[in-house]
Formats: sequence, C-alpha cells, structure tokens
Amino acid sequence: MKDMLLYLLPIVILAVGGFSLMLVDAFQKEEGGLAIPTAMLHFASGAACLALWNYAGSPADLARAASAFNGWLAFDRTTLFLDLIIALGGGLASLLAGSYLNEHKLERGEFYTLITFASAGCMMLAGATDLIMVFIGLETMSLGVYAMTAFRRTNARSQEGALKYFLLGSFAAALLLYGSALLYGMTGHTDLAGIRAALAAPLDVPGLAAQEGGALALSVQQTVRDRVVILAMVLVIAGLAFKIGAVPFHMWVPDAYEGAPTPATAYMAVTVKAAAFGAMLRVLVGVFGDTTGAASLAGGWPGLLAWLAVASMVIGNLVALSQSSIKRMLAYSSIAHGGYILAAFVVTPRAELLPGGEGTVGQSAAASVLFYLLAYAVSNIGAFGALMLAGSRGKEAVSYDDVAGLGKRHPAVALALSFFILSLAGIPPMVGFFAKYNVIRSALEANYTWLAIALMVNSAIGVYYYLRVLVKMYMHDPAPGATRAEPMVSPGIWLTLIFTAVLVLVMGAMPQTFFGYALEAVKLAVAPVAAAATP
Amino acid sequence: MPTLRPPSTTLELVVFAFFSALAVIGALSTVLARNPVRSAVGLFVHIVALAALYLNLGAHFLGVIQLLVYAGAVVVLFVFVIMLLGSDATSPRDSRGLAWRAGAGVAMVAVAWFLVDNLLHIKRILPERSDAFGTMNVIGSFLFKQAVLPFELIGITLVIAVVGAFAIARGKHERRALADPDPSSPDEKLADRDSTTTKSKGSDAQGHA
Repeated sequence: MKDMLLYLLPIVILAVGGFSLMLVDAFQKEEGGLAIPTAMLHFASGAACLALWNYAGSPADLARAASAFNGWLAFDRTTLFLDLIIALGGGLASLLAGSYLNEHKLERGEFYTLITFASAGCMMLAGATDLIMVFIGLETMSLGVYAMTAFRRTNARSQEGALKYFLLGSFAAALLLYGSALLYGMTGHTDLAGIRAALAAPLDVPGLAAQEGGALALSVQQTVRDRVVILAMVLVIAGLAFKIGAVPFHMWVPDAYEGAPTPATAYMAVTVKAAAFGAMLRVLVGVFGDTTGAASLAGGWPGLLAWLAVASMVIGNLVALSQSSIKRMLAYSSIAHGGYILAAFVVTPRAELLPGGEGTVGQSAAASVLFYLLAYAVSNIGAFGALMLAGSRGKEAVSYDDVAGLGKRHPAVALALSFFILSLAGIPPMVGFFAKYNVIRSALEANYTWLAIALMVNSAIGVYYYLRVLVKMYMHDPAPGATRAEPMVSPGIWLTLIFTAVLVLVMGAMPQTFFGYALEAVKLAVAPVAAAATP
Repeated sequence: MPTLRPPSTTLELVVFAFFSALAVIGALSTVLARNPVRSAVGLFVHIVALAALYLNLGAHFLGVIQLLVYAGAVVVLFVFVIMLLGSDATSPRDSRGLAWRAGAGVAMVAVAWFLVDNLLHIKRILPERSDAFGTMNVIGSFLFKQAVLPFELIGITLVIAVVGAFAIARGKHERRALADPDPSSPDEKLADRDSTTTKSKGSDAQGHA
C-alpha cells in the first residue's frame, strides 16, 4: 500500500491538486489566478517523476511495483518519461492559459481543473498495462480535452470542432473497446501481460488433442483465434491512431485544433499525443511485439503502421501547404509529426525489446519515439505560445496575413515565433532536427530505407510551409486596411517562451544525453514485465 | 476443463433466442427509425433485451445495473432531450452519396461475416463459468481488492465529465469579474500584466479593472 501511493505520486499530486483547485475556485470571490497554482501542480508532478526515476531502475523494483499495482499500471521509466512530458506540457500550457484566457475574457476556473484532471488521465493512459486502465485513462483524457475544445462557448468554430472531436472520439473509443472485448474473449485476460502470455503459448484445449481428429480441430481453433485477435488488434490500433490523429483518422484534428482556445490546442497537441503513443508502445510492442513466438502476430502491424505513417506524413504535409491559417497549418503539421513518430514505431518490434532480448535496433527506435515526443512537446508549446503572444483580444494572430510585417512592427515577438517554427521544421541547432534524425537513423538501421526516404522528402516539404510564416513576417507588408495582429503584453507568456526556448536549445546542444535518458527509459520497460495476477 | 458453455437447458435456449432476436430488432429500429422517439424506444427495447441476456448468462448484477443505468437513466435522458427539442424534430437528411453508404454497408457486412464465420468455430477458449460468477459477493470483493486502483481512478473520470459539462454549460454567459468591454484601456493592460506575475495581486487588480 505504501509502495502504491509512492509510485502513484505523479497522478496523486494532480488528482488531489485538481480537487483543491475546484474548492479554491468555488470559494474565491473573483475569477482567475489559478494558472500559476495549476502550473505548480504539474511541475510538482514532474518533479515526482524525476525523483522516482531511480526507484524504477531494476527488474526487482519493477516486479515490486507490478505487484503493488496488481498489474493495472506499469511503474517503469517509460511511464515516468512520458509522465514527465505530460507534466511539462500541462504545466507550460496552463502558464500560457493564464495570460491567454485573461486577455480573451475566457478566464474561468474550470479550465484549470480540466487541464489538471486531463493530465492525470494522460498519465493513467501512459502507464496502463491493462486494457481496462487504457480505457479509463483514454476517457479521462478525452473528456477533459473535449470540454477544453468547447471552452469558447460563444464561438461557432469552437463548438463545431468540439462536437466533431467528441462524436468521432466516442466512435474511436468504441472501436478500442470492441477490440479489447474481442481480445478478452480470445484470451480470457484484460491485462497486457496475460494477453501476451496467452497468445505466445500454443492453444491448448485439454482432451481435444486426444480425440479423433483432435490435432486438426486444435489447429482450426488456433487459426480462428489468431484471426479474431488480428481483427481485435486492428480495432485497438484504430482507436489509438484516432487519438494521435493519424491519417485516415485525422478528420477532427484541424477543426478541433483551430476551434479550441490556443492553450488548449497546445496542450492537446502535446500531452494527448504523448499518452496515446505511450499506450500504443505498450499495447503493440508489449502484446504483439513478439516476432518469434508461436503466434507471431507481429508480422502484420508494422506494415499497417508503415502505411499509416506514410499517409499521415504525406497528407498532413500536403494539406498544410495550402492552409491560410497558421493554427490550421500547425494542426496539419501535427498530423505529419504524428506520422514521423509512427515511422519509428514500425521499427520497434525487434525481439530485443522483450525481457531478456539482445541488440539495440528496436530499443533505439522506441527511444526515438520518446525523444521525439519530448522534442515535439517543447517546440510545439513554444510555437503556440508565440502565436498567442502575437495576438490580442479582437486582433488574434490566426492567418498568415495577420502576421504580415510582424518582423518590422514587433521584432521580438517575430523572433520568438520564428525560433519555434524553425525547431518544428527541424533546422539543425534546434532539437527538432535531432528528433527527426533519430527516427531516420532507426529506420535505416532496420533496413526500412524507403521509409527513411519518405521521411526526408516530407521534412523537406514541411520546411516550405514553415518558412512561409517567416517570409510573411519579415518580407511582406500588411495589406492596407487589413486587420493585423497586435501582440499582447504578457510577461507570463514571455517567461514560458524563454523557458521553452532554453529547453529547445539545451536539448539541441546535447541530443545524445537526452537520447540516452530515453534509451534508459525503454531499456527495462516497454514490454509488461511480470505477468501479474489475473484479474 | 475450459469450455464455452452453450445454453444448456431448453429453457435457457428459448430465452436466449427470444431476447437475442429482440435485441437485434431493437438495435435496427434505433438506427432506422425516422422519428427520434421511436429510436429511443428501440434503444430501450434493445437495452432491456441485453439485460435479459445477461441474466440468462448468470451475470445477475450486470443485468440489474444494465436496467438501472441504461434503461433507467440513459434512455430517460435521451427522451428528455428529445422532448426538449420537440418530438417532431427529425434528423437532417443524409446527404452523403450512394457510394459512401454502399461502402459503409459492405464494410460492415464484411466485418460481421468475418466475426460470425470465425466465432462460430470457437468452441473451447473461454473459461468455464463458476457458480459464484456474477454475484454481488464476487464483484464486490474483486472491485475492492484487486481492482481498487481503477475503481478509484474512475472517480477522476466522473469528476472531469461533470466539470466539463459545467464548463460548457456555463461558458454561454459572460464572466462577471471582467465585464469591461473595452480591450484597449490602459488600466486593463496593467491588470493583465499584474495577473500573470503574481497571483494575489493579479486577482486584486482584476477586481478593480
């Protein structure tokens, strides 16, 4: 019990903090002022992850944690790494929200409660080692994000985006649930370790083999089970791919990203992705990652994911080219970034990820997933923060035309926006470059040359529309009479941006160190370690 | 020996066949009915039939909960919303082309055929049902012993749903503290700056703005 509370600390801090925020909000006379406490909660949760890092260092620790959690949640460094990204993203997004919501007359205390509980949900999803926990985490996270998307209640776009997100999201959750139910039906387990063990062992029906024609009957049973399991796997992949906005499940992304208040956009781009990719890592590699076992179901999904990855990159980038709104462009580029991360996933099912496995190809691929998520988190929060900073009430910076000439009018704001846009584009000194480099290297190591080439071509396309923002800011003058964005006065956003920029530069300067942490995070963990007691 | 337990007695078989057919009819009429009230009634029939199937399988607790929560609360809520909108409200006509509908239909039939074809062949994978299965005792001790972690964490899910609904419902009204419509007044800019640096000062300044 003591162990359990200690291991749960990141989630407990957020959960207790969320309830406290609700109480504070209920009893204070004026609205507002909750941004900094919310950010502090997130940072405290992140600090807890860092503090617990050493307590997840050996197989013995992991086994103890697994028994403390009864196999519901994994307490390993993968979880801690993802929790850290979530805490960082949530904390920075709530700092941004403090200024943005105030400026746009949206300041209501519920936003901070939502963001805190949604982060707790993300952490549950990131650490889930049981399909029931996956679903609980997914729903907690999604409900919070749906409500945040709809937060601009008087804005039609916000309502449209939220409704689309909600309806399609519920449908995706149903797919995931259906897949989970089929998996349970085929294996009798909802915990990932149990499913994995049941699938790895050849099907054994006592008494059947001894009967006349028993061997044939048994092989029919085996085939049928494997077929249904593959269908279940596809359904689970579809449910999770929806959350990361991979093509063809991306329809909601541009509308939800554009309609949501910008801090909520930054938040969901970062944390939802991190949590959903974490769950994907655990479910796909943890359950179906076995390429050598009797069932060998891993044959199918890397190919499927490769297509999802390429489609996400190509469609995300091509549609981003033709956008006139920067927020929509960032939404499509987020689809493309999801594609880049999926490309690293394709490489992960190498036997060495499993306990006792050797070699590093799959491990470094999984590590580049984590590294990419961290790099994307800091770059993206920065980009959305700078975009927020460039606008003020009634004069928001949304379209390319809004920011025309910003470089001359407000050089500092333009510089901030350029900095993070360049990191997203993957220009070398920034961390975005190394994130992509790691993925490409992993793909090449595993002989997926065509995937690496697709990634490079797409990055090049990406550079075009990212640079368009810069060209517009520095080389164009605003059309006479057109509305133009006026930057808001906000030390809070500036502080956040400076903090994020330092992270971008530090991670860009020492990519190997941070990649090393990511590698350490996946080394022990990715597969569920101990087969816990069957629930 | 693990075996998928087929309906053992004739009575169970009859109950199973009757309520399965009812569930399918209910589901179809939910989707196909033009009138939303009929859809809701179809859903109600479907839910009750499912509850009966659960009871038939020995999952008594689940059956009762199904009736209480879905038939008792969810469908009533649906009907309530339909009444608020006006019972003659119909859904807008589906403007999607024939190709989409045909494609969706083919995909659905394909998945259904795949499942039926495969699941019919499965005989002995599922664990056997024990006598205690589905009783309050077993569910209670499972929920508060092994599954206490997800049970507690679901609390967060429920709270966030309530807070989210509240946030959306309340957002229609302008906030009370900062109703000043002029965004460019220097006072307010000052207030904004304060509010981002210090929490307590910020809320004071907002009060004056």
